[in-house]
Amino acid sequence: MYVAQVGDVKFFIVVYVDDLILVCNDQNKLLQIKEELSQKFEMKDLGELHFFLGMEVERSRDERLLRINQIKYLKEILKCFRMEECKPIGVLLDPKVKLQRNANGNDESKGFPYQQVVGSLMYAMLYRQPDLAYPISMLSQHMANPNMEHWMAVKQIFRYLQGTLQMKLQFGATPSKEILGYCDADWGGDLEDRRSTTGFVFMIVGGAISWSSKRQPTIALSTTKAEYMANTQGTKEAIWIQN
Amino acid sequence: MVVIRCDNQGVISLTKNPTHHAQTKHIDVQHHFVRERVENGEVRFEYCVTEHMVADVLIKALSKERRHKLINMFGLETS
Repeated sequence: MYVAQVGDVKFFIVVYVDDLILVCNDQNKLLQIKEELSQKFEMKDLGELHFFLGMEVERSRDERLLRINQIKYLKEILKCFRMEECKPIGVLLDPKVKLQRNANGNDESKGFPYQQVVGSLMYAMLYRQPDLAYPISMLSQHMANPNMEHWMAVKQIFRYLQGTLQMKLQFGATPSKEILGYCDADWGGDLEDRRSTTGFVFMIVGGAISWSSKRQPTIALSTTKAEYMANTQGTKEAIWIQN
Repeated sequence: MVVIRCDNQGVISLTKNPTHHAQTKHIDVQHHFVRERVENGEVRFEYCVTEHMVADVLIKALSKERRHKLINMFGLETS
């Protein structure tokens, strides 16, 4: 990403391989830069941003809202893993089921594309769905040796996605431009080694911009310690966002 | 300045209070790191009741209703 600032005019160029996004708060300057770039490089102007890396961007200028959805991508993965006709379900991860290590080493799930599925879902999680972060982090811990229980959990996520295909990440609902973070930790959530999980999410103008769900590297001996470690992670992220 | 909301009062007072607590002796490096940032005014911690703790979605399996409510709070719209 390239950033330039001249007086009040801010300019951002985001490059991904051969795709460019230009962002500027001055329309004339934007046109001028576009002109200059197209003289140097052979490029095509696709107009306002609609589609980038599997994200569809909708913008409503009247309501001052920006929405990101991944309907196309999600439909594609549902189809790819032949779940396009599954029945939707509201529960993402059954609160009663605790996913555990496949202790007896049975290869029950041999032949299931477990790794591929979790990988595809991870991509969806990174761009639009903070709510998937926790289940994906749980499931990725069993990438090497999944059993039937893990596979059922994966299928449940697909059914949840089927029900929430139209879900959009929306920005602009609240006018405040201040970054607001939420930070929390469970305590000893991992049943095998009693490590805790840190979760944080940062938002701006009412939409989530950064989120994470991660098992802590050290065992916390008290809830306060677990929370404190979570806050350290959150603080690090906050400093990074500000810079 | 970034505001971070957290549902543990004890932790918040630790980030503000420079006194040494025997109970928290082991929370050292991270403790000072966070406190320094708070002192410099880079972040501020605020209390938030567990009910509105959005980050709950990222650490545990929740009921349908509760998850729905929380994800709405960070901008995920179903309709």
